Amino acid sequence: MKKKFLLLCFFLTSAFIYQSCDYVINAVPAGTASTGSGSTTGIIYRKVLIEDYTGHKCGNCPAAARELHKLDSLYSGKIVPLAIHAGFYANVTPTSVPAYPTNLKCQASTDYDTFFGNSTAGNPNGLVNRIGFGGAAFIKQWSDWGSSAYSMISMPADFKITISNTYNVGSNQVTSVVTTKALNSKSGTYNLVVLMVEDSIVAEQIDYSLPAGSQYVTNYVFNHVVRGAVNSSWGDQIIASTITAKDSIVKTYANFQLSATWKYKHCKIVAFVYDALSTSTTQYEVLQAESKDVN
Amino acid sequence: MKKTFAKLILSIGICSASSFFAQENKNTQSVTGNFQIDAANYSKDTLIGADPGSQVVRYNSFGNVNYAYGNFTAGVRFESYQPPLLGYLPGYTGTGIPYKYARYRHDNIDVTVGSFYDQFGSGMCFRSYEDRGLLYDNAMNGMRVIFTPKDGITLKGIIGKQRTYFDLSPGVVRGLDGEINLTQLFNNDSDYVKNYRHFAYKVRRVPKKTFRGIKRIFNKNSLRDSTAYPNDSILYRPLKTQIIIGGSFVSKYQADQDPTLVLPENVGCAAGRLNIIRGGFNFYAEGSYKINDPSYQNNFSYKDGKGLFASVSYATKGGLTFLFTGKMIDNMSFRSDRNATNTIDMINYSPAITKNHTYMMMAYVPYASQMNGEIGASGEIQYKFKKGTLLGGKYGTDVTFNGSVMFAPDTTGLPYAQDSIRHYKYKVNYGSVGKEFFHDVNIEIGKKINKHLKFTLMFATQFINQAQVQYNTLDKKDHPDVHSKIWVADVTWRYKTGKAIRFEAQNFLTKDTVNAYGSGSWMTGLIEWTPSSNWFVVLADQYNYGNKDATKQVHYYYGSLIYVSGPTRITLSYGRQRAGIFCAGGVCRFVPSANALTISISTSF
Repeated sequence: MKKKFLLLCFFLTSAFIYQSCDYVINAVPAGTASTGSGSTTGIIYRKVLIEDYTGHKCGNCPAAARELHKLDSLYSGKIVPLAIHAGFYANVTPTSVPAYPTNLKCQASTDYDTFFGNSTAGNPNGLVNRIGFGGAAFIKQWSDWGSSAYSMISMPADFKITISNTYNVGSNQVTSVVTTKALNSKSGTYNLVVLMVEDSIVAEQIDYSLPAGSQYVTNYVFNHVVRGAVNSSWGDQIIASTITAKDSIVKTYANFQLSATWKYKHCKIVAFVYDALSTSTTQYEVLQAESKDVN
Repeated sequence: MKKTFAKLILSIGICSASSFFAQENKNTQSVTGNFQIDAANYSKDTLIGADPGSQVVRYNSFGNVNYAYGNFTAGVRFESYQPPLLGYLPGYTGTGIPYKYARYRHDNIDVTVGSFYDQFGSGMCFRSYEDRGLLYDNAMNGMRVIFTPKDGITLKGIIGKQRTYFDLSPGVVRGLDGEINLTQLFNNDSDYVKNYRHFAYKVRRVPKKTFRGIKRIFNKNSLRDSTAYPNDSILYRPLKTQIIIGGSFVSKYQADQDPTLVLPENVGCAAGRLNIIRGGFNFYAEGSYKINDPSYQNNFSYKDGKGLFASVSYATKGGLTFLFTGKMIDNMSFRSDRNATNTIDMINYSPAITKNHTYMMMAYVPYASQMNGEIGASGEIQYKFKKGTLLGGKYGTDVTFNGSVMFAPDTTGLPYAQDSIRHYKYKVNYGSVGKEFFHDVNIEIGKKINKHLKFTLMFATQFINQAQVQYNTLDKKDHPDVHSKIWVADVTWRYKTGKAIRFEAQNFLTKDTVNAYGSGSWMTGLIEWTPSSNWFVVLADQYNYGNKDATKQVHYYYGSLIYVSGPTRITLSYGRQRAGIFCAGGVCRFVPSANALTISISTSF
């Protein structure tokens, strides 16, 4: 009897160990990776806002930027990427050795970083649609962005955002008309945030993934850099309590002044709608996002 | 007949009463617990760059309440951080009851539901524990069963999710552990142990001659558990040689939704251990193996992981003790969330073998276990020169010599920092070592001069490769190696019974730049006055006198008033706290400098 019992224990333990180990032979998925349903069926899906909290003095941050670029390519048109330069690692230190004289911070980036605590949690990290505010999984490592985006990419949207930009070369100003259309009737409080974002900024960055001696990169290319809020960091309230399906809210932001150091051809307007109800369990969750080149 | 009946009734009554009171005694109820709050009011201090922002008041608080009734225990821990003190992970912001459990123990079964801490062996595959000072808590939340089918055999099974701030980790952890005390199993059958114990308990106050007689009767020379009956040490001698073997297997499950990689959803880790104890001699060795476990911390390497830990110690009655440890780790980071960083969701643990210093300057550039890979060894020899000898003097002299050195593994293939493929495999060359990570050689002398005066002197020479250890980079241009020499003098003068003054002087000498704190040498002075057994006053200052930038040669002063009464301790402090950068596993966290008025209150019941 005792022998049978021991034999059973041995068998169960062996089965548990065998079942509890997945050996991966090929780390790359066979065929093309799934990129979700997209909007091919006529249904409008959520676009996923991925915010990369970073800094030019953060040596581990370029790895996150590469991941964001990879996801942006993989989910072409279904992701709205943002690079939030904020916190200690984004400080400008023109006289330090090596020097970081280029300022990529802005008030909106600092506001988000201070409020959500990203740089305090350790760079790099990010937010995906700002889902799960207050929970352990709110701030995500870059290695988790793909999985998180995958789970949201096929979610039907409640809103559709359309952006129309008119750029005036002489004044270096842009006027944006942002139309938010409710696809379903919704109740709650929703805000619209409109940001100015610039791509292809060449500046200094430390990159620990490069060999020793060449980690200080003077011609690093920064993309999706938030340059400032067109309306405000936390946006304008566009729905106070309810909205009926197919109703639209049109907001016009006239003559936003671009800085002389920004290249308008590399600039774009990013707009997103989020849950702004303080008593909501999904507060700060982004329900839809969109981007459009300035010119 | 009536008398007989009356006696019978009386006897039953007495027996029942005895039984009742015995049961009452066995099932005594008790409530125990402890509380602590550390609160700080931060101020702006431009000289050290301290700017707390708008949330100037922060606190860490917790309270444990445990209830016990017979074999049953249950408890909860309430915690609140709104927000946590500067320097702690902001994810802990919140209030709640993250720890709650119920446990039942009876004979050979022990069941816990809810939260629990445990570890298998040295923890190479599983260790769930908390450190409130670091705000580290990876408590398991699930179920644990401990089964002891026979004296000498312990089997454990665990399953659940780990605590992640005020939430639970996305992965599930399940594990089995078995431990066999071979000496107990084969040398003592349980009846023998019980009989011997019972008999020995009855005659525990008999003279030595009788004890020898008992030994002859049982023809044994020892028993299993001398600690169970500490007052009976004359009878309960430990076995001459204890041999304990153990093995564990732990697996985690986390779903794979990554669009670019095929990730293993079930990852297993196995470990085996051996412990031999004989008198003052103790040998412990444990080896572990983990299958492919790509994670954020190992840069998504699909290589397997290996670990080996061994220690040997010996203590003589003459006052000499020594301890030697060796360790090798390769790719052994094991977390219930493959994307976790910092100290979150760690399933296993690697015991540190470098000295855990208590003096501030000695621990100024600390070394932490490198779960991605390290090889090293340490040794410590302690000797107490006896009273009345030339070096021992009137009260004896304690001398401790300690040394440790840690290296990176020697690998063939791309090092972690240069890998951008995210799934490469490399080879470890076990015959050699890579770059040096850290070394620490120190000597400590403790001496009591007379009944009023005693001192401790300590000297250390340390080295840290901060580029690789703290920043995960090979570039030493920005993060140079730090060579330092540190000395400490600690003098205590007891001028009256229960009243003392203690002085500490510490010096951290270096020409190198410690990235996290600034460059150059530091000096620390501390005075601790104990006017009575209830009150303490501490004044301290850390001074970065060696900073090449004269504007940063700043004093970090600090003062504390401490009141202690029984289990209650109240501390009121004011002072500056250095800024720091703490990096682990490819994530760097900047902890700002601070200027704060703090109060700490703790008590237990």
